Amino acid sequence: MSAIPSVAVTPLRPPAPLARHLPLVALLVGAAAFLLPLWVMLAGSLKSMEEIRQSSILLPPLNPTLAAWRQAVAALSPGLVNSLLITVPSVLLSALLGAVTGYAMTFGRFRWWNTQLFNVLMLAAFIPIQLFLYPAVLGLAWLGLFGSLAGVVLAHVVFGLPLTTILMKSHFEQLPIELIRAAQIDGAGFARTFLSVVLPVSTPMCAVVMLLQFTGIWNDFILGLVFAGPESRPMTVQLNNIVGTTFGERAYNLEMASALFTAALPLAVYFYSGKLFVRGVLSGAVKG
Amino acid sequence: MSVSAAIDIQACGVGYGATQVLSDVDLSIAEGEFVVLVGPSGCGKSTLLNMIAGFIEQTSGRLLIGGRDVAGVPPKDRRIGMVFQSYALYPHMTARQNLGFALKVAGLPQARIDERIDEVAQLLRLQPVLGKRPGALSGGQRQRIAIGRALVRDAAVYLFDEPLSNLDALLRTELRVELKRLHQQLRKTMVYVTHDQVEAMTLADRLVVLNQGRVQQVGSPLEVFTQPANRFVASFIGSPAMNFIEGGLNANGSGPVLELPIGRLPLDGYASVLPTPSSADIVLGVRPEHVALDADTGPQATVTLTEPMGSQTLVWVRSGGIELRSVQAPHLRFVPGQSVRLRLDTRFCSMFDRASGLRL
Repeated sequence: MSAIPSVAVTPLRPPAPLARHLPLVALLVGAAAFLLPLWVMLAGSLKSMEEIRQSSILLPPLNPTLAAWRQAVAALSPGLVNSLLITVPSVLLSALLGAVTGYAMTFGRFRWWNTQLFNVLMLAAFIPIQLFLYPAVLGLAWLGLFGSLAGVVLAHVVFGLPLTTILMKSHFEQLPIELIRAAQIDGAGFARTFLSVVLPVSTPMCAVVMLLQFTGIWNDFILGLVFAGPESRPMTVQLNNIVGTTFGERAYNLEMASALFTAALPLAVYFYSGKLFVRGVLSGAVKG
Repeated sequence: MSVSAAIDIQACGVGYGATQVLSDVDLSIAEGEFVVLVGPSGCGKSTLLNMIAGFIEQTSGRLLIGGRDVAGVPPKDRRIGMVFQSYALYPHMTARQNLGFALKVAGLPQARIDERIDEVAQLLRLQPVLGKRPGALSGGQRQRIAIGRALVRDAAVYLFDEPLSNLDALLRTELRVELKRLHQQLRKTMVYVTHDQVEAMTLADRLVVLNQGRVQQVGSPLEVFTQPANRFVASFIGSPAMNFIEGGLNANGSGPVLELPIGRLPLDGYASVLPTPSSADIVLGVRPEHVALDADTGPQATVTLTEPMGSQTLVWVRSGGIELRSVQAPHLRFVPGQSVRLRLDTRFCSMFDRASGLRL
């Protein structure tokens, strides 16, 4: 037997302090880079115009004032109400309809039709919304809903359906077929199976879909601009009016306060539901 | 067609395009019978069960449940209870709600539902876990809940789709006994699918052996074991597996004689199903239990390998160029190289036609 060639063994040494902390440092630098704009906005919204003109944008406010915030809240409040009136029903309806459609497409009987319908949905989900604006305006006008809250909600639901349906359908496809069959054996019909079994076991996915829809619809500008009349403009459109209007000097503090105010709700929702979101995204990937 | 048949399958087939999953299945299952469908994976046994359940519609033939043609009748209206391999419990409901779901859907009053749940829970010793969700239960408890969920309904037929396959060996034997007791107690019609031949043998009133979408044999476990209808059934049922010896059958003055590589053997006491031809190319099937090694005369053989299994020892012997397995008591210590003499008991052998594979 030949001799085993000797191999130089490197003794295990703890890594150098820099190497050990490098990931942490990188994370901190990254976080700072992403947080900097938020800090500029927050600091700016609490400064007076005089202070903005004189100090650096990075410095904290020396004499914090809520004047800009009061102005922003007063100007945007009708928009906030409109945004809520648009977003809440749009999110609920598009998620629910997406779930129903996805369920019917996954477990319904018309396989061939469903395949064709799915292809159309995939196409629809990725065509820019702008292409549909003109026919949608005509359609809503014909329904007598143009320029109303209901019209905007309808537009959001319709344009949101392809995405919510695709997401819910791909989730339902991963449900064990035996679960559905067990419900059938237990005497549950198509609707009862959906309500009593499929929907309850799909809450994480529903949360994901609703969260996506919430951010999308809350941040929407173009549908609100086109379809909402002057009375029912959402917050984003009003924000644009504030930021876009230029009489004399630009009121940076007001603009920053308005922008933060508009973004406050989605931010809060994300902070609150972050864990839920991660769980929902992973729940399909990892078998429980 | 007998009036008492719980399930009557008449010339049923299931095919998708060119592939035929099930062909010409004829089977009548009596009220209160425990029928086990057994076969290797892909043999069509699950398809047959799903056809009875109504998840798959037969493409030819007729299917009657309780005397009623169920063509086009959805699963929920077939009066069946079913237990799935993956349990398929509703994860968001407690064990109690799982058990009661079917009754709730059926619109029974809550008091009656609770009564039924308690009856079944007592039967399956489930009371301690009724308040828990499936996620908090062990595999055995989950499957018992699933069995309970099927039994809670007054179904005409109970279907079991490999219910024990996901459990570990110990639990499997435990639940197997429990299922058998349950059937003795309830006397309900049960159809049970498994690929495990021990489960099949121990549970069945009648066995249905399937292969490649066709019924190979229907009979009591002992019938199927002692008189397999063809080579497939003979090789599939029984462990350790049957020995197959190719040879010829000749008749001389004193009666039929087997010409085997290990020597000539008079065919005594053989129960033939077909009229025995005077000469034929055959395959002789001998169970390892019927290969004796303690003879004073007979073919010479050499022990090549032993596999001690505790309760018995499997001894491999070589004779006349072929290898045979023999089951021996563990205290008889055979060693490789040892010389023995073979004795095959032709009363318990099976003779198959070499071309068709059918039992002679």
